[in-house]
Amino acid sequence: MTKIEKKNLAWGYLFIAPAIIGLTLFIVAPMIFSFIISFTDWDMITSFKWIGLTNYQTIFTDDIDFWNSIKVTFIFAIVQVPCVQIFSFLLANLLNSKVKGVSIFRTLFYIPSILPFVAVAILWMFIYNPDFGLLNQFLGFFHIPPQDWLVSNKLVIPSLVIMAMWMGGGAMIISLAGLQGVPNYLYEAVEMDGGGRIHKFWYVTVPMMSPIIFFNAVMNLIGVMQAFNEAYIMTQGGPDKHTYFYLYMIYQAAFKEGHMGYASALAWILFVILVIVTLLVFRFSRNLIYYEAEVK
Amino acid sequence: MKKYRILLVLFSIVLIFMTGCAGSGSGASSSDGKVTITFMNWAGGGEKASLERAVEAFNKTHSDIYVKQEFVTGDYDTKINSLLAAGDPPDVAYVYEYNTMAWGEKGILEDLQPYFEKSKDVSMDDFIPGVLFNNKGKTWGAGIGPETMVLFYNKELFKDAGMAPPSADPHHPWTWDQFVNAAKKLTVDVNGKHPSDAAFNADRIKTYGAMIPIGFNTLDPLLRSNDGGYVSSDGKTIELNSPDSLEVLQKVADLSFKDHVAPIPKKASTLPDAPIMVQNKQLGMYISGNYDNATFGENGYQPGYAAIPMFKKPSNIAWAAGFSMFQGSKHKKAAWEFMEYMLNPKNIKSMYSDSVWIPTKKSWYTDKEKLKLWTGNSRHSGNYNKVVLPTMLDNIAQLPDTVTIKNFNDMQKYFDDATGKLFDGNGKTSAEKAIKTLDTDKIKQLLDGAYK
Repeated sequence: MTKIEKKNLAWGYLFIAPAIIGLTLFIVAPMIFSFIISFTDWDMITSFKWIGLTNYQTIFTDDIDFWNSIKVTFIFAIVQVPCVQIFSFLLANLLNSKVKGVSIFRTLFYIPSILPFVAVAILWMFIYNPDFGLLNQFLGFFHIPPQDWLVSNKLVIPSLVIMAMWMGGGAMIISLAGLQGVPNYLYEAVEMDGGGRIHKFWYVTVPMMSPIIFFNAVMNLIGVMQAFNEAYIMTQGGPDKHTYFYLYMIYQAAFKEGHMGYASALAWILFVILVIVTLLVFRFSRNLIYYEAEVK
Repeated sequence: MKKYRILLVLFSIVLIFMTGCAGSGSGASSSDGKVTITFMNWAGGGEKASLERAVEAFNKTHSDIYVKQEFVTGDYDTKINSLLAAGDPPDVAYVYEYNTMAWGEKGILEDLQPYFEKSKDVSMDDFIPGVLFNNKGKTWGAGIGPETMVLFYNKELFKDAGMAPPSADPHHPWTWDQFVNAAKKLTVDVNGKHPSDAAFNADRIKTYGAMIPIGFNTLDPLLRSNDGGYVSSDGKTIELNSPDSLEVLQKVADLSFKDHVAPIPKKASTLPDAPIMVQNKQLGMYISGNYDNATFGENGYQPGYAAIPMFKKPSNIAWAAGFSMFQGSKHKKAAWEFMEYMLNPKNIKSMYSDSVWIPTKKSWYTDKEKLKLWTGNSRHSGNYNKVVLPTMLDNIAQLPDTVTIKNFNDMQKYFDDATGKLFDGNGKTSAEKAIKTLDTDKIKQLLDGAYK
C-alpha cells in the first residue's frame, strides 16, 4: 500500500464512521440486546430472569394470540400487496400518458402517501363510520344498505386495503420514474409489427418494468408484514381480533403487559419469518423478472 | 502508528455518542437552591386544568420546592415502564390501580406509612375504604381521585315516555328486569317503532334505551350483584364461568343482540361519546364512572342520576388510582411535602366541586359544611348526593378485583379474550360458549391470592 492509498483509506474510514457507529449503536446493539433478553423473563423494572427457551416454547404451544396474529397478518399481506401494486402500477401508466395537466394529477395522486398516517387514519375512520360516514351516505344514493366497514369481521381487511391503495403513491412514483426509462424504440418495434396498446403494455412495459414492480412488491410486503398503525389507531386489533396484527401483538406484550423478554422473542420470530418470506419471493420470482443487464 | 490514530478518532466519536445517550439523571437542584420534583400524570381536560391550578398554588406557597408536571397523553403504562427501565422514574406520579400493589412489592414505590405517621396534616384514619393501597403493613399509594359507578339518564326522555325515572336509592336500585323494560320503552327506530313492534328496524335505531359500555368497570359490579365475579374475593378460584356470572354476561349481551335496546358493543366506538348521546337524546341510560359527570358539566347539561341496576343484591365498586412516590426519587422529603398538600382535599377542592372525582375523606361525606364545599353547586344537583353518598358510606361499593387480586392485570387479557367472543361477535355466540374458551389453565397459573 502506498502512502496515498493509506491516507485515502484513513479518510474513507473516517467518513463512513458516522454511518457505521449509528448502525452499531442504534440497530446492531439493540438487536443483540433483544436477542439476549428473548431468553429471559424481564418486565423492564426488576432484574432479568434467565429462562432459556421457555418464551419460544410458550409462543408456539400456548399463546392465545400468536397463531391468530400470524393468520391475520398473512391474510392482510396476501390481499394488500397485489391490490396496492396492481393499482399503483396501472395508475402510474395512466399518469405517464400525455394529457393536459398531467403534473396536477401526479401531484394529487401522490399527496396521500406523504400525509401523516394518523391524519389519514382519522379521515378514513370518518369515511367508514357506519352511521354518518361518507361512504355509507354515498352508497345510500344507490340504495345499498349501510355497511359496518371497520367493525365488521368480513369487511375490515378490505376496508384497510382500500385505504392502502389510496395511499399507494410511493410505489406509483417509483413506477412512474421507471416508465419514463422504457426506451421508445421498443414500442416502435411493436408498432412496426402491427401490435396495439395492449401488446405494447404486455410485451414491453410489463417485462421492462418487472424489476421495479418486484422491488415495490418486496418493500410493500415487508412493510405490510409489520402493519401496526392500522391496528393501533383504527381498530385496536378488532373486531374480534381480525386485525390483531403481529407487530400490534408485540407492542401489547411489551408495553401493555410489560413482558419485554416475551415480546423480544416474538420480534425475533417475526424477523425469521420475514427473512424466509423474502427469500421465497426472490426464489419464485426469478423467472418472472427481466433484467436487461443480466448475463445468463 | 497512523492506523492507531484512526482507531483513536473512531473511539472518541463512539465515546461522545455514548455520553450523549446516557443523559442526565432527574431531580437536579436548580441553581437558586430550589428543589425540582416531577409529578407525572395522565390528566386531561377539566382534570388537567384543576391539577394545574393546585400545583401552581403549591409552587407559590413553597419557596424551596418547584413541582414540574408532566402530562402524558396516550399510553401511560408504556411511558412509565420506559422511564423505569431507563432508571429515571418521576418523583411522584399517578399509578394505575392494577399496578400500585404489584409495583410496591417489586420495590419500585416508596412505603408511605412512615410519612403518614409523622405527618400533622393528613392521617390515615379518615380515608374512605379502599383509597389507601395497604398491604402487609405498608402503604404503596394513596388515591386522591376515587370513582364509583353511576347510572346516568336523560330526564326528558323518561318524562316524554311517561315513565318514572330509575331508582336513585342505592339500597333499593332497579332490578335488571325493570332496567330492561324501561330500555325497551325508550328505544325507538327512525320510523318511531319500538322493539316490541313487528316493523321495528334494529339497524336504524334513533334512540337507544340503554348502554353498558363493555369493560371491567361496568361488568364487575353487575357480576358481584349476582354473586358472581371474575375471580373469588380470596383470589384463589375463577368465578367468571359460574352460572351466576354467565347469567349476567348473557343478559348484558342480550341488551344488544336480543332486545335491541343497546348499540352492538363493537360498533360503540363509531358512535359519539355516551354523554353526548344522552344529551342529544340518542341514548336513554348508561352506566359509567362518576367522572362522566364532569363532562356533562362542561357541556352545560344536567343528566339524571340513579343507582346502577341490580341482579340479586345492590352492588357497586369504588376505586382510586394510586398517587405514589417512587423509590428512585432523590428528593423524598420534598416529594412528600407535595403529596401531603395534594392529599388534603381542601387544597384540590375544585377537583371535587367540578365533579372530576369524589373526595377521599369520610368527613367530606358526613360533615355538612364540608359536603357543601364540593356538592353545593349545579354539577351536584338533583339526585347526585342520594346516589353517591350511601354508595360510598354504606359499604355498597367494594374494591374491584383490579386492586385486590394479585396478578389480575395479567389475567385480564384472558378474560377479555373470552368475553370478547360474546360481545364482539354478532350475537351468535352464547355466554356459555364464549366463556368455555376461557384459558383457565393460564389463569390458574397466575392466581396467587389477594392483597391484605
